Amino acid sequence: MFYYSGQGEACYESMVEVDEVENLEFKWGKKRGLGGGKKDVQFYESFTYDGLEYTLYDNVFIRKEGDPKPYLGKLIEIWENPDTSKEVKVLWFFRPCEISNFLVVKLTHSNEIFLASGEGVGLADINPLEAISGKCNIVCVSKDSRNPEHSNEELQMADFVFYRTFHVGHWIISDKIGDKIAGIDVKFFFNRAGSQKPCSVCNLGIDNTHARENAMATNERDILCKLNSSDDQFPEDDEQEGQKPVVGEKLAANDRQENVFVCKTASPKVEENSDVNVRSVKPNFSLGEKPVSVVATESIELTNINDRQENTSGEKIDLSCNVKENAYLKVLLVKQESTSSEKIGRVGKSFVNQVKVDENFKSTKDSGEVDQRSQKKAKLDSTVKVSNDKNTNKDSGEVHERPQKKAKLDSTVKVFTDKNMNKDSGEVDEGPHKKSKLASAVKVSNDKNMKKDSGEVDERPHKKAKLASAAKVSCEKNMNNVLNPNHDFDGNNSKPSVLNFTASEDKSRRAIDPLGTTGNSSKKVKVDDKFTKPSNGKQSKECPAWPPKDGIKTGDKAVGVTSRPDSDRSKWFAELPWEERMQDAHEHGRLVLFQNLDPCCTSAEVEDIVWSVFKETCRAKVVQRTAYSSPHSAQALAIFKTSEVAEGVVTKLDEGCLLLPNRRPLVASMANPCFPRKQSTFVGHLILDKLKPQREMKEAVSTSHSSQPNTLEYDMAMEWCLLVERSDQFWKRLYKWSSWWKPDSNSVLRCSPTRFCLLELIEYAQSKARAPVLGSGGKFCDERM
Amino acid sequence: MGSAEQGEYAAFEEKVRRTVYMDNLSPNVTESVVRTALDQYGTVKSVHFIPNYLEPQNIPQCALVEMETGKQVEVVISTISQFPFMMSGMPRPVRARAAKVEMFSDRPRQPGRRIHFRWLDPADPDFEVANKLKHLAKRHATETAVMLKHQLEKEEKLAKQQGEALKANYKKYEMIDSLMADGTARRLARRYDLRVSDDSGPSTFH
Repeated sequence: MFYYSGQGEACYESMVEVDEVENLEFKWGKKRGLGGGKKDVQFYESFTYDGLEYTLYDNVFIRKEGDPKPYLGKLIEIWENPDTSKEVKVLWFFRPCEISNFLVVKLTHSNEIFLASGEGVGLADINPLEAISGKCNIVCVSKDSRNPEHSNEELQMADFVFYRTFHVGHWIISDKIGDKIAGIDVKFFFNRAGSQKPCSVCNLGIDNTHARENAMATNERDILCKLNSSDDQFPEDDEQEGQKPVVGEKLAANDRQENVFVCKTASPKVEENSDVNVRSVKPNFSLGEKPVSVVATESIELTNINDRQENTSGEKIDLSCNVKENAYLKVLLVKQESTSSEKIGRVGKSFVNQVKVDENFKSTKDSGEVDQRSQKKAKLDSTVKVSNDKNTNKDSGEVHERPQKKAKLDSTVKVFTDKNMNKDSGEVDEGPHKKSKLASAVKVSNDKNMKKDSGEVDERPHKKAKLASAAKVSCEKNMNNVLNPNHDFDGNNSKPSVLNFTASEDKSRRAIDPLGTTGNSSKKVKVDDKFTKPSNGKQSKECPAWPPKDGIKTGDKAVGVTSRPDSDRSKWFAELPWEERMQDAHEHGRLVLFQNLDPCCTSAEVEDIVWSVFKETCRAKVVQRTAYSSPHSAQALAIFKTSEVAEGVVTKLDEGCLLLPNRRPLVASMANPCFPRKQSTFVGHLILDKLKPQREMKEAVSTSHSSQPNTLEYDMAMEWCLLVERSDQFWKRLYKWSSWWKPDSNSVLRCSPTRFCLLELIEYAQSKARAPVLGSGGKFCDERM
Repeated sequence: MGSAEQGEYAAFEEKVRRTVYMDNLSPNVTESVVRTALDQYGTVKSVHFIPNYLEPQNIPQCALVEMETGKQVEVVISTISQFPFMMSGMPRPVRARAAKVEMFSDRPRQPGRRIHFRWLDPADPDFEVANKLKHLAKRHATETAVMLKHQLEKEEKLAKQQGEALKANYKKYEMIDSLMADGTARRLARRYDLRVSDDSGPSTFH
């Protein structure tokens, strides 16, 4: 930020930003009401503390000094006293050890806790807000009909579960939950329907700023409404609240965007504001992580397209065909709206904000120039205006943004765009533009599935090239092939096609629609083709479709796995042939290890997957799970026909990403198995050489038996049991946190730091060669959670 | 077709319920050892040792032991977990647990399960995420390997410790034995006017 120190305002702004970040320690959220004797106590519904947002009825850890284990409770009241001390009322959960004297029932879950109920000491207490040490994920597993069902994933993610209550007055445990506890309606104790807590916790884990954005979304929307209704009200409000995430959130859908722009054209003041917004967006933008930035580029491209469309239309408005335009624009708008909402649904929750921010960023820029445009608009009649307004808002983007854009593109594009612009002035060119508009609308709604639409030819290859920057030259080539006719069309200004479009709107519409639909339907095939047969060098003629990235419809758009034609699997389960074959395959480099499979995947299913994806047959065998292997994923060994095929498969899976159900990318590597050799010694079995002659002893050793508690053997066995138990805990803990898959499309990856810290501990312990690490290591992690 | 599949799967699930998963088995344990060991709790129908291709060779053997009824499985598991159970050696006990579906390599597919797959475009924002997941999966595999190694080290350490303790114990017993044998103990007892009986135990540890 020091770089900007010369520019007073910018500097000031960024300073404010930084300050805010540093003071994030605590912030009140939504107010509730006043209370207390003199009405001087302010109650709140939420607050942010140490980067975490807490709302009423959240489950929290409460730390008490000197107590190693934090207490568990549910926030049921939050307030600030007149002396600005902050307090919360917490309804307690009891750990089994806290009520061990009254615990006559058996625990049904290892992490079961009990909800306090009844009346009396210990039901709920008032604590300083600062005693809260974190959020706790508690799932109610009650079979009560009022309790919304919880999913297995939630259960796995849960720190604790409860379904029984402990009556603090009568000291009785019961599985009935009354209508009210401590005056709080019981529904707050059950799982929350709809917005589930694990999700929000998850998001927080990923990026706090995102979460905050989410939280603020509602506020922002309010502001937006205000903004739309009265212009003078919003500036300060907006500036304050809309520091960074706001802007993105505000404009959830395109139509909103339009609204805002309308406002902006109306008053120059508002425009200033938009500048502020833009600036404040920037820092956020730079915050974006890698995946986000990919989205960002895309959405910018998207807006680019919009700009272009609108441009052309804006120019056309000068001409006489406003009414027609209108009809089209409406179509366009509707489509855009739908696309934007699609997009929102599609992209992972945490991405959404970013995307929107970026879009907004772009479009606010556009609207910055709106006044210029409005002169043009002045010629239009009022009915047309409203819709054209929208266009022109964006329209302006072209004039000012294009150069920038163009700078990015290479020179050939420039030529095309210039030509295009030239054409814009002629009436004949209306058709193409309309067409381009529509086409792009279709295109946009097709999820940037832009291959065939003729409209935006000049830009697309480059966009594509940019977007898929990592991507292959061949792709581009393909695209060029496909787009060649279009190039001609644009470059030569070929009349026939233009006429065709102008001749009848219906026709052009029809002409476009098929494109859209073909685009849609061809998507699958293309995705399939392109990736399944790259080795053949026979890439699809059409440029690669953008694969559907909407999590919602993954199932629909993904390709189903089909059975292989020859399914003589049964003979493969004979132990010996498999092992021999595997050995042979390994020697010839034909053995591949698949990792990260679904745990319930069977050998036959692995073979089917390989067949459907690569059109190759293989013999696969899942690696059997043992007590040590991960319960969250499975491995399989597969024998391919040749080493080339095997290597090809490994490379393809390494470069691309094959998503299997539950958003599980398949991982493959050349397997390096070890083949069982007979071993004679076994760690932990002791033989005293001198005792060998004694016959009875030898028999005692070799005969299976349970040992009796009065022997030395028993003591030693106990030591083993202890060790086994310890490592068992260890494994459990290791795998508990590796369950970062959630079929829920909104959640991005969640990998717990706990797991890694555990391993670091081990490594540390190993390097220090300290004996009792296992137990203490686990405990340590527990506290960190 | 569907019902046949379901029937097959149900039969398989039933088999899983009838099966005990045993590990910490010595490599010397063979099918016949398992059969004789568990005969006292029920009828062993089949024994299948889980092959280990990917992990270090010195990890203990695991086996799936199919019993005749689910009841027998419960008995086996509860006995083995209550009392340390020795098989082909001492003092490291074996462990028994209920078998899980994923432990069987020849399991039928779940009826009605459809797998969908799709390739992610490199420009897709999910691509990054998926790539991260891939790395994570690899990392987890490595972590598991490290963990296993660590466990094996701990086991070896305990075995060594116990071996030494046993040797020391044995030495002690041997000394006592020899003192008894060569009459030193008796002589000393006479000297200090103590009664000594000859029944101090032999030097075994069971």
